[in-house]
Amino acid sequence: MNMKLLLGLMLIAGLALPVRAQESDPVFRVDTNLVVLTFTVTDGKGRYVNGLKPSEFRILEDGIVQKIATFSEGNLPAMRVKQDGGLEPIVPVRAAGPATGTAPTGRAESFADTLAGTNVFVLFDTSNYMYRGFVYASDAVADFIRGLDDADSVAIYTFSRNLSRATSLTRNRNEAIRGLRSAVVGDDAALYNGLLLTLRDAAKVPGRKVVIVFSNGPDSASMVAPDDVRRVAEEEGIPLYVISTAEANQDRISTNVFRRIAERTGGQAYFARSWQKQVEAFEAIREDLGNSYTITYYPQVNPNMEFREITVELSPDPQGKKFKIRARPGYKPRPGS
Amino acid sequence: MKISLGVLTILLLPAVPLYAAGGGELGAQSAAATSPKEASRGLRESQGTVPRDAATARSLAALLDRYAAPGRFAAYERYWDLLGPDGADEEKRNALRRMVVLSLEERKPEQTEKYLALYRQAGGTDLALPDPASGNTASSLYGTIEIPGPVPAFARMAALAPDVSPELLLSALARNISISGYRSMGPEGGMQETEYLRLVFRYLQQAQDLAKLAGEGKVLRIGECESTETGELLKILGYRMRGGCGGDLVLETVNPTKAFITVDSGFPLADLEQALRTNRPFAYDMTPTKIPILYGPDYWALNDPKKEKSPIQVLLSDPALCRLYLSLAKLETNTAEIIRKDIELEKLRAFSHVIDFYGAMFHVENGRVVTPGGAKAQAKWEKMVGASVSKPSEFFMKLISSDDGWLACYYDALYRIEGPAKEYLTEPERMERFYEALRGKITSPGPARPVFRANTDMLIFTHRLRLDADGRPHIPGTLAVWKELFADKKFVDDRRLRRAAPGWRDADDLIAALFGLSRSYVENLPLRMFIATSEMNRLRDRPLEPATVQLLLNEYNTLRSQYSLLTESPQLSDEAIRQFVDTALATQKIRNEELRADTVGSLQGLLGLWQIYARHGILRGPDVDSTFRKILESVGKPENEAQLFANARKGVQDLLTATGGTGGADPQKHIVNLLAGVRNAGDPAVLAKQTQTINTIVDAQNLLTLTDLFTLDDQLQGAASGGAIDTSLVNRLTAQIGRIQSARASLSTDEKNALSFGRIAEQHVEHERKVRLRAEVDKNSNSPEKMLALREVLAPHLRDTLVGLVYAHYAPPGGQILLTNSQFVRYHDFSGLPGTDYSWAPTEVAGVGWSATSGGRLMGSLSELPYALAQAEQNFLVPDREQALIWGDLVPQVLLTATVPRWWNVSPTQVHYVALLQRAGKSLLAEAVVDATVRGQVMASLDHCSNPHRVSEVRRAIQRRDPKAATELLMPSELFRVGLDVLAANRTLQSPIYTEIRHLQQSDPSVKMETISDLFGSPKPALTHSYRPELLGLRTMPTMMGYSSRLMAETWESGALYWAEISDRLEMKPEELNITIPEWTRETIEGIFATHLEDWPALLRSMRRVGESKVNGSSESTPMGGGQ
Repeated sequence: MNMKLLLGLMLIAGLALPVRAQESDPVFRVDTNLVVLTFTVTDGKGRYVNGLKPSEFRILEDGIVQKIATFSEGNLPAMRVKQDGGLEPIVPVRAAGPATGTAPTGRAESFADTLAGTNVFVLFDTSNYMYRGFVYASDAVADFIRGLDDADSVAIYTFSRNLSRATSLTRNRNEAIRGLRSAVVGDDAALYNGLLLTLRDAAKVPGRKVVIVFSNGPDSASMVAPDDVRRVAEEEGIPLYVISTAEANQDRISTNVFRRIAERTGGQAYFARSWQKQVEAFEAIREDLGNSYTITYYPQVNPNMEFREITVELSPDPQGKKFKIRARPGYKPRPGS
Repeated sequence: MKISLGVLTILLLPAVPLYAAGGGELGAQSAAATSPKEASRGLRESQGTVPRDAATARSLAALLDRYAAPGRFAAYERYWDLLGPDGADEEKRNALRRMVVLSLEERKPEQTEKYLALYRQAGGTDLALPDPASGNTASSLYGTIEIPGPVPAFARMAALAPDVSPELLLSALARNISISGYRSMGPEGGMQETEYLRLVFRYLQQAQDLAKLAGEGKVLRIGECESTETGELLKILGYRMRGGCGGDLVLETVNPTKAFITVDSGFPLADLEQALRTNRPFAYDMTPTKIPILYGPDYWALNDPKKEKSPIQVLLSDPALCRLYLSLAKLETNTAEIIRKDIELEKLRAFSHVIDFYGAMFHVENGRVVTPGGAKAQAKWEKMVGASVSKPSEFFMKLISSDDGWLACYYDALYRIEGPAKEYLTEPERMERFYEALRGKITSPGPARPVFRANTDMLIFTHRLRLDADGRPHIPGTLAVWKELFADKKFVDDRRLRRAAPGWRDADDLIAALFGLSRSYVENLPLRMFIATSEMNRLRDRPLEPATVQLLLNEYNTLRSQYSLLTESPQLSDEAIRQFVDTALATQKIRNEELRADTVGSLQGLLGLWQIYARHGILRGPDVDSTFRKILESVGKPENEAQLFANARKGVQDLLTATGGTGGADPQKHIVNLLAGVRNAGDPAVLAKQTQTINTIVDAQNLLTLTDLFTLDDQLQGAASGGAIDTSLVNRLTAQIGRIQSARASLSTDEKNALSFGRIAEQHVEHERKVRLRAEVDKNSNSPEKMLALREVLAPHLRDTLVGLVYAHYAPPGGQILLTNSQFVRYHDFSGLPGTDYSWAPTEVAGVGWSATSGGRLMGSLSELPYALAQAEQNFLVPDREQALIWGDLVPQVLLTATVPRWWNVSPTQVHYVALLQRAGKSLLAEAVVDATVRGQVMASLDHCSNPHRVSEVRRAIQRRDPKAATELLMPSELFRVGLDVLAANRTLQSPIYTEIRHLQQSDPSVKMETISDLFGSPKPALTHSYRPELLGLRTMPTMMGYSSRLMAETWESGALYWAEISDRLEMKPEELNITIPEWTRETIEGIFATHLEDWPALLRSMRRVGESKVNGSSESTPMGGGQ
């Protein structure tokens, strides 16, 4: 097996290293610059385009063509991309020990499980700003959780001045909703602090993940800037979605920031009339999750240590006239990579 | 019985480390032991070889006892058993006494009585169990009231700590109501309920509705989805069903007001929904909860004689009554009872604010009021108050009603202090005179009128007043200095004081004037100056010269926040201090704002490093002063950035020279290694981790290293004489500079407009970014002068690196900002808001929240950097439970106790010594149960460090034969103090713990209190004007206004002491404390669920939870094995 590919597969799985593939195999160490790219393809009418093959994509980084390591669509498990462009299942690799750090999951799952579905981190604003609409927002989040695909896992985090981990990643919807309903309202809003900590947790989890923020903004207590947090999301390949209401428009800065950080990370920001009118946003996110493609690759040699622009091309539509691809625009490599 | 020499050595001469004592057969084993664990193993092996050897059994019991190891009781039991009927009575008594004490500690009453009886059989006559009924008076004072539903739901709605004890629940509620329940609507408008209180009332209504629905069974039961009960329940909860019964059912809000209460109170809505979806029964216990109420509900039914309201509603409706409840609950129990019986509730209620703030020290003993200053001051107090101490109720009523509360405030301040200053201040004539000065002619407004206590400065003044060897107050400089100051309108507004000052004859005149100022919290600058300069003299061999004091007073307004730097190092000469003032003032005259900021930043960065090195003994003796002066000389007042670079580099060289970093040492590595403690011998893994933490921050902040900067500088200088430039270095630095990002780069116009400060800091970063180093080097390569001038582009980077290294040293545990916001150090704003100069102002956190989306930053000087970093980082803590009751005024100071001190120079003996003293304190509480002499000594010790209420609670627990409860009431620092005091007062007490403590005190100079205070103390910048870690043993201060809310947190000095005790039990290496204390402190904070800022027992509970989890969760949890 291609050694670099094996490394990539192990990283996707979030396995702690050093790892022994088999007793006789050498010990591999993770090269942390694996890029995880999640994106959607839609046609001229905004309909998702499914069933595309890896060979139909061309990934460029600053114009340099990349070699795709793994490929997955929707909630299906990731597959290794063979030399000929074909796909084959990823051979389970047993980790030598537990994942480093405190991964926010208490799950004891099979290897294949970790690659199926999306790990959805819900970050729910329980600050004073949400006081008036809190119960409706809580209902909305509960609806969102109920509507997730069975394969998806969900963690419920809440924040005001501090973050609270209400429920660790679980596929048990009741457990998630119980955590949600245990939230206490009040205090200042440190949205970006909370988002940063959520991303740090999400980064420790194997597989595909997204963070969904339910907030009306603004932020009154964060020490980190939205774009610092956005950079972390970009580096970790975690799309951010923001679900908000028209009330957020009272603070133009917040709405601009929501849109910017969501779009730059491959997610979206939604502003419905009220918390009760979020059906459209939920549907859009669920469809995004169910119809997205996830590709991983190791960047080719590139002297640019600043922002690297990512381009996803589709061979049936190289000019991008027929289809629209929504992906994060790029990322900044980690020092030393 | 035969005892080997080795055993005797271990038992009788606990040399350090005791387990390594040598001699004889067993001694050979012990000598080979490198840890208590090995010593224990050796002793157990000996027991296997010679199972009936009493001496070995005794050694093992003693060893386990000294380390509080599991199995110590069983070890004593075995030893006693081996002594047999023929054993010496004294040995049997000693063993049995320990077994009695350990049984008490473990709350085993039958076992206690059994071994006490055996103790008496062995001839012991000095121990007796008290009548437990005498300790139950407090609970007999309580009645009960009912609140509907479960306590956790009520606690959530009322913002009470979830683990508050039942007795404290109502007083915690009363505090919340009196502080947050009502707001004043102006002079005519009365009081209006706040949203907080409205929610509490709404919750009570909902709970009553639910209780009614539950009916006589007291349990809400929903049998099936489609039922009338379901509809009624959902109506009360404010929800409705969407979708029919079954899998599609969803509960959604229909009445947001009710639904909010449902969710916020933690009603199990998700479980109800699930039950309805699956058509399974749902049950929820709505049995009313009985909670204790002090003096029973009838006592408080003042405004409800017809009993139309429930008792809880009576309290909630009356903030003054709540305040009185809280006040009486805080009073020493017997004292409160006397007051309650003799004074009508209505009268007390009128002065509830005074009792709340200044009643905590009221104390009646044997029917007489215990007044500050003891017998000598008693008559004067009687005169001042106008009542006899033998009539406590009259005395206290007059005390609280005199002078709008000023007399009670004074009484409280003098009661709280100990030592020579108390003797001085309570000398009768002086005491009266100072009070006259404090009270003035107009007593309104009283000191209890604001929301928080208003006597902060007086409390600091009385706590920190020092006496010279002649018993007179220490006056910094001379009296003449202060006479001049007080005569100056610039400093003293009070014309009467200004006129009187020239006629002062002695220190008492000054002290009286300072008392006169202390009642105000806006016009007492001279008092603060006095405290600051007095602290500066406290640790100095020679006090500051009058000229120096004069200079410090003159520049107080500009440089006061820097005085902590000068206070912390008593080795600094007067010349050095004057030079500092001159240099600091000179920097303010630099007209170019960017150059000024870079100069100040570089100088403060260098002095920050110097301060750390001096604090931790890396700089010693005369090097402290000389290096300080050299740095000041080196940086000076540069003309331009190029000169600044050369000057600052010389400053770094001064530091390197003084710390042995010359002779080809890599400057960056040397400086970082010293910051990480590498200078000290220790575990390489620990040192590597410390170094890595600093380097990670340096990398995350993208700071150019000192080594790169100086190498390039050397090459630029060399180029002037034809030398070569290392292009790879230039390219690397160019690339690194290219990675500096503008905070504005990705901002929208609105966001840019919202950035309203930090102009100079932004210019600083922009200028750094815009430099194309490689291009500049190439362009100027033909001009030696221009090459040399390129230093100017390096100067801002050198500033950032120096500042960044200081930041890295104080980074709070798990710090997110420094790892995420890569511009945090660069954007440190030394200039501040337009039109101001923050160069030497205290460090502040700025830019928090949405208005500055470029992220928070720090502003001002580096003087308060550790505190500001802790403030900035505290919101990244993740509370263990959903209810985040973390107090912003408490957390930064607790973090400071983990980020400022270092435990590089701590020996295992010192760790063991402080652990032993805490164990001794705990053991003495148990001894106090059965030994009346010890009881008196324990109480006397606590009287000096605790308030009367808590002392009486401890006494009561001891009388109840429950020393464990007494231990839980006390902080580790108090246990430490009890251990010290009682063992000093009682030389006859015997136990392996006491023996080892005495042995160490006699034989090991490293356990002198001064040294222990340095090593295990906490920094108290607000109280002592210094970041120097110290143990002061003060009573816990109350919360006060503004900055002084930090004072309460600063009197918390249990952190390092407690963690040392835990690490001793885990047999950790002392240097590991540098890693574990920050981590454990963080965990402690995340577990605090305090009802109020003053709810420090919540901090104590959390700390003990973390500590015990480390001991129980460790694979080394029973280092010496458990059982037998």
